[in-house]
Amino acid sequence: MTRRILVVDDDDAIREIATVTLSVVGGWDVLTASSGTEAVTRAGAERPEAVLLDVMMPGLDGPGTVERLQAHEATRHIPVILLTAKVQPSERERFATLPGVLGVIAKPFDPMTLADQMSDLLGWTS
Amino acid sequence: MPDDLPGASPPDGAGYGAVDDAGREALLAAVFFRARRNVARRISVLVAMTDPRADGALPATARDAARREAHTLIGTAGTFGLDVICELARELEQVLRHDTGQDRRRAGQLVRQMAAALPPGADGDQPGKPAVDDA
Repeated sequence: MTRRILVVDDDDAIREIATVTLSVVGGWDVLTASSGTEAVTRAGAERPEAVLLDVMMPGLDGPGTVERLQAHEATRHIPVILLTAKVQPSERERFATLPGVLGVIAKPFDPMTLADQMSDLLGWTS
Repeated sequence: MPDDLPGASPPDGAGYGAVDDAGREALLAAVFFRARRNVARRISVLVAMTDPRADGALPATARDAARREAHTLIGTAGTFGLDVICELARELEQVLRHDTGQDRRRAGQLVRQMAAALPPGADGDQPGKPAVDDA
């Protein structure tokens, strides 16, 4: 069965390259959202198997979005991988320990290996 | 996102899995083309916000806005192989992190270096090959 994931980033370019490579390389069904608020709505309605979520977004940011997902029974179980250009190890460690967050992927990332990085963090085997 | 470009993306990822190798290359070329335009657009916003000839500090709201743009550029430029711009954006974000009272000139210089590091055609109107390292 095809995996379904939700990619959340306010930057069109990142959303698009992640969508293309996760679809083409990973073979996954990719949903997208351009804000934390939209992500919460889509996750609740479409129940993806995982969320790839940008940390720094205007309005509801990544950690805030995780908090909202955790607050709802329907989305609490969905694993989240955060995407961030923050370079401080302490910041990344803090993000990685948020409830529901399985790992952190650094920006910039290699688009062609993004699906493999996510699979590793999610424990998905091909 | 214009729909008339080769490989223009449909909503979400529906249909991408069925493309052959040639289609995949065309798709990636189109995505890289749009990303380079995205980077060029963000740099032009920063150019408008900064002045390398001016002394003093940027106003707080401008500094915060420029820092957000720089942060976004770190991820976007680096992901699409524009490594020099990525590193300049990283330095710009650091410069703008604290109000030193003297950030305007350095920010302006970094932004102009970013503009100069854009690959040819980044703000053009036809898709090309994926961007490569601009070092």
